[in-house]
Amino acid sequence: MIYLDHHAATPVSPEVRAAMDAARDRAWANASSAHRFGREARALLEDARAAVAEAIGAEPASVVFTSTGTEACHVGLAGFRGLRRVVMSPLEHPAVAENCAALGLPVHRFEMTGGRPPPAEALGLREGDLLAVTWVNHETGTILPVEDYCRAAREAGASSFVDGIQALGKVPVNVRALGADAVAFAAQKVGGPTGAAALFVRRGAPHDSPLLGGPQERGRRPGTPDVERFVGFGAAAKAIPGRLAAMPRVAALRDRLEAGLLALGAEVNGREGPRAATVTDVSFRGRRGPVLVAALDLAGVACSHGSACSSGLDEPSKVLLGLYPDDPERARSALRLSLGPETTGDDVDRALAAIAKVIGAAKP
Amino acid sequence: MTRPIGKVLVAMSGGVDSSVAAALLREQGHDVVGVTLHLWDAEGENKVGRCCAPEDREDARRTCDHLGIPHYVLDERAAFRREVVEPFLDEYRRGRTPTPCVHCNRTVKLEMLARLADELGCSHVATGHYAKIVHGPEGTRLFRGRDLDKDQSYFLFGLSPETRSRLLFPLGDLLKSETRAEGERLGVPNAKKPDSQELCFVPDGDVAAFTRRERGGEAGGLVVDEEGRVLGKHDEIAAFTIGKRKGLALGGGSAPRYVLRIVPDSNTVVVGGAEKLVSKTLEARDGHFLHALPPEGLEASVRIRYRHEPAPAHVRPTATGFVAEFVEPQRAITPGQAAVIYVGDEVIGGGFIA
Repeated sequence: MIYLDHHAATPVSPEVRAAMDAARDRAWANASSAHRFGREARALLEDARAAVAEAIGAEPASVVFTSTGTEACHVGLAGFRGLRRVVMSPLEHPAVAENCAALGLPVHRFEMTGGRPPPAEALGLREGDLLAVTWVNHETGTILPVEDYCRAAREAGASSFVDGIQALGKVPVNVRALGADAVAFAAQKVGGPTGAAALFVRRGAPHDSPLLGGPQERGRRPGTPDVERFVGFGAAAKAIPGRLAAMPRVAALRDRLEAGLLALGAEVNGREGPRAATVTDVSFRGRRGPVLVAALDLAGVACSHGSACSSGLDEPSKVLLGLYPDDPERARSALRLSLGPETTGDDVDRALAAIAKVIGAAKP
Repeated sequence: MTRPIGKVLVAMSGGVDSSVAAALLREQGHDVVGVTLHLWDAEGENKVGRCCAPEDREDARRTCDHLGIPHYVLDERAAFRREVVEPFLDEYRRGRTPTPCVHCNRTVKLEMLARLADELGCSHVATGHYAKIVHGPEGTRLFRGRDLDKDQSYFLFGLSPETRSRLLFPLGDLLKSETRAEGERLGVPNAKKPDSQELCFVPDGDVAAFTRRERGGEAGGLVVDEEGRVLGKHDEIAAFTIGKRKGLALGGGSAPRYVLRIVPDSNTVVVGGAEKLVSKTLEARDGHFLHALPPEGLEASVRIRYRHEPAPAHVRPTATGFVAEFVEPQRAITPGQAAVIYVGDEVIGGGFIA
């Protein structure tokens, strides 16, 4: 079985597994307890926080652990004070789009037809806006110029939220340089476990957590933390420089995969703009994404149609409708193949052979 | 041509029948793939529907986990609405009583699964239908299931020969009670799940309410007798089927009256005595035949609704279907319902009552 769904979840890396195993005997305790057991668990948690903070260029006190990326988006987006309008890209994941919609404010989606991001000044940001954008898109890998956008937000007196979940480990991340008010990350995209995520909140940002409860995570994310999983996140964070160093090799493999797919008649989605190295999202016109995913699973290739979260529903990908509003067929017939540092040239060649066979199979 | 059995795609509804069908194929050593078609979203909070509710897809997934086979859910809601639900609503508004399961099997379920089987590299499609299929050198023959009470051969006459040729019905020789026993023996997680009702997208059986919800209310009309005398009023023709007695609200103490005809142009329901409800002749259109009818006709039995014991009739072909002359008069021959021709237990063909 060839795994080409790294944008859904990355395999837990050996060093992460080892760190979690080593911590297990101490990580069970409640990290808020005053006794020795609690202190030991708390120490593991704070070590992990320091590692994550280091990886994203933040102070540890600005890092809030949450259990999922969606939770980080929710806490991040629902916590801003004094908003009048939301400005977001047309490519947002439901974790961002739905939490923005729930704010009950007017939502302005800027256009990105053809996959080229608009320049920052074209966003029309003004005071009281919340800019909500994803750094690296989960489906197409499209990279938005978030640094420019956040600067424009600051200059306009707007707040800014960046979904950095797919960015971490794929592009260099430094939240200080980024200048956003809040940024979400998740361990499962960088070799860490599922169930561990983080929200960076800039010190002094006009932000209060919407979650109510105890004082854990400085009150921003009340509830007993799953220390063992955050230890895993910390270990994964330490390995991020290695992941970034592998990106040129991953890019070469992606390009090889993409060339093979183009030869099979695929159209590459989002190729017109800047993209992360780890993904190719392609459409096979006339075919249906979910059926291709099932056929490829049976043929030994794990991939997805749109985001894994929407699997099973045959609604055309909203990301692709955002890029190609007049072409729902393109959105319906898409396959997302995403690579990681573990992917080999042999994986790519065998995947291409399997895809060629499935694409050649009787058409519906 | 009989095709060798390779990988088998099993249509998993989440119910006990399809689960046992998959378990039996697995036990026989076949390479099995489970597919659940998501056809409809059950309405409202109280999802009484036993079909296509999220928990049914979950049950199907759990059964496949138990059997150690892959499982995929594919969204066919758009096709189901287009091919089954909308024509169903149209038929009711025309004063007819459709048989949506025939259309569903023909245009959505089995035909679609057959095409899907190609894409998934499967040679055959299996379902939990109670019917028998026999693949032979001269083609595929379809028979009533051994459990005559559960027999679903009535719904399957419309399939294309190509689709028929790749079907497997592992429950064809089982009684429902035996299916449940097999489920228990094989440890199928949902062996005790209650049976589904006949119309999956109208789980409460209230077609009139469903029509109202989907298409909005329609104008009421008059209930008249055969001479055109007005006997009362009705709220909507979708609430009526031929032979219905309940809900006429005619009052008076006369002899029982039944719906004889529905006239959509004037929104009129025509009623009369039980003796007016019977007829010896039926014309069916849009015919599909597994065996061609000889020009001079055939002595056969014809089933005029799902819960009807096939009745002896002489059947002769027409340009688009057939005409059946029954030996005994039949009650409530209802336009829109499927009429299916049997010789013994074998399905010869069928069509839709004109």
